[in-house]
Amino acid sequence: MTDQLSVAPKQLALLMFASLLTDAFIQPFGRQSSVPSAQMGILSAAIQMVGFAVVFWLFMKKFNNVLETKWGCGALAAVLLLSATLEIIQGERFYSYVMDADLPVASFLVIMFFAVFYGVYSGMDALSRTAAIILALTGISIGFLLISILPQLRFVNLQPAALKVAPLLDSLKQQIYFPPELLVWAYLLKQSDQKKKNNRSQLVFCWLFTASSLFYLLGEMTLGRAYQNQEQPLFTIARLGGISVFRRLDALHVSVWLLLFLIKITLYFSMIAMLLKKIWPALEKHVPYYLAAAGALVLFLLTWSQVENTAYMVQQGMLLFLGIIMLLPIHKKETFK
Amino acid sequence: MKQIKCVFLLLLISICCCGCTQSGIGDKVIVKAIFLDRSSQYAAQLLVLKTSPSADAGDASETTEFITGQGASLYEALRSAEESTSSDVFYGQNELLFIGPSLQREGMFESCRYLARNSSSGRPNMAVYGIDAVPEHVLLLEDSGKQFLDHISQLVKQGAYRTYLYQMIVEDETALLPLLHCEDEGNVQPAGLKVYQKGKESELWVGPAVELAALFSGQSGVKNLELYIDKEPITVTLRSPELFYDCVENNTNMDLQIHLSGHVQQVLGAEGLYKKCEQQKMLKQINEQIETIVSIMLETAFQPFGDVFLLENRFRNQNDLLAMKMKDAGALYQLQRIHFSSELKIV
Repeated sequence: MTDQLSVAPKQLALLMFASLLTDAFIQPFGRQSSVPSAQMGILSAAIQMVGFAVVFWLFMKKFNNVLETKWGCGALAAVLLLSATLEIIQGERFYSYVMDADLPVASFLVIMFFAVFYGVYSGMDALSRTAAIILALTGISIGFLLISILPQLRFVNLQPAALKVAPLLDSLKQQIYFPPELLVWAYLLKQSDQKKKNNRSQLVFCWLFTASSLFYLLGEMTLGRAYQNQEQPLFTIARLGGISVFRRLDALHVSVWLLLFLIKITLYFSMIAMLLKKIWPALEKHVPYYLAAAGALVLFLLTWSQVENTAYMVQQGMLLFLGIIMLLPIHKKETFK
Repeated sequence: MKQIKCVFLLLLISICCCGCTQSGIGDKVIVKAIFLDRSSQYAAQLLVLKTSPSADAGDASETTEFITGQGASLYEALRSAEESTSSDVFYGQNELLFIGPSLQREGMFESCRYLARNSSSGRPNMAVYGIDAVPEHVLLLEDSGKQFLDHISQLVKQGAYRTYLYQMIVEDETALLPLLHCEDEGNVQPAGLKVYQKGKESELWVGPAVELAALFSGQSGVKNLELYIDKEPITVTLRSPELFYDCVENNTNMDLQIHLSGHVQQVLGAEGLYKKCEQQKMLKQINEQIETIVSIMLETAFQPFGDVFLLENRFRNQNDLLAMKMKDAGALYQLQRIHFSSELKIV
């Protein structure tokens, strides 16, 4: 694994954008009762992005050095392990949902861990460059999606409603979350000592908001009243569209979205492996990854189809706790540096 | 070199996972249409394409056949049909769903919801049609399966009304179901448009009402309206017909003005095409007849329990608070709120 310091802020921003964008394509199963209307979704996304920007700004300003201690690294590694597990569960479920041919969970995990292993030991720099390529592919995928569903877009399908606080709060409650990427991003910038340079976080949050808003609008304008019943609305509209004789473009879209998912998982595992190596420098080259994979596998078996919602609440609680700790005016003397 | 090996290995793994390892193309039957009906049990009939690939392209062949199944639920019926063949049933290319007469009366929306949820057998872009053939008659299509599919694609190309599966899963169970009359040798003819509100059949639209409903549903294209001028049947071909909506607001209520614009391309009567000067003379009557037909359609389509053309959204897009206030006061769903005018011109 190469040193994370070699990642330029611009590349890091692209990597974080790719990782955060995955959530817009692969909606969590079972976590929300229904998809919010486009109006509520866009408003919630705007509030959420402002929240992200504020939290990230605070991290940049007030980030203490707790993550430089063994305790801090261990806590971040633990929360990332839980986050990776939850993402793997959602990814596997999404894969089973979109694919006609059944793939046993074990095969999915083996292939995914193999690909992630390759990604982790290619280094963060290679990962961020791959993310840039996959983002370009995602742009093409969205372009094709737009063209393919253009005949079915109808403005009258939009479900307008006078702005009221209660539905907005409901929508926010369902949508808002604390992504581990914010902590990871701030941590990596601090590590690389490049936090004073332009980290392009505002641009990333703006693009995230644009992408989310576009997906909400496309979903509702295409599906109309059926939009809010969809588990994976973007996948549903991807299945609707076709260009000329090409009817199954959804397979191409999904392959690009799954690549984004792989980037996200690889980022998490890269971070876990890096943190474990920091805690125990004596670990052999690939051992941190094996430990992380084993930990994720155990958590996967413990949470899968059983306590996913509880695990999600624990993850969010841990992230929030860690985020608050990072902002407290604490300065630890015993750090790795 | 190491990287090349890794990439090669990844490609090899991808090939192993591409879905063709378990069965070849010759072992699959490709579903081209699903027919569903329900009498005492659910009946599922899958019109499948069976391919016999050959190294010599000339020997390769394609035949259609039905695989059928019955069961207490739709799941069981589909599963029974799948188990009736030794081949793998592949749904990935199917875009047609036909609902039989009994299921049209009861259980259609539940069946559509099941298929929409089930990503393997259902696709949201499946075109849904009501068909007047019972399962026994559907089986007679086996030999003429290809002609049947060709006729359906011709109808689609001609701009026949289309309803997709995702439009049939709405909670208020309000939808328009295009009907087909099945004739011998795989011939099919459009047989109108069935209006469903709150899951119940409320009306059957035929002739020009179907073409106008397509316009209201945003399905553009050339429209052929069968009208009567002085009791003589004529077919009016419209070029680029389009509806324009304008919601006019005053202090206490709103009115929706809808204008049909476009050009009359040709008028065909019993004795052939009418000349331009004759068309000009009958233009007023054509416009008036269209206005009459639309006002009759709106009597059914614009109801609080089933807003077929989503006209409420047009009001709400203008002023949501006022629209909701009117709705609560019972003043929104009234025909006098909508002013339709046909303003067709001669090319």
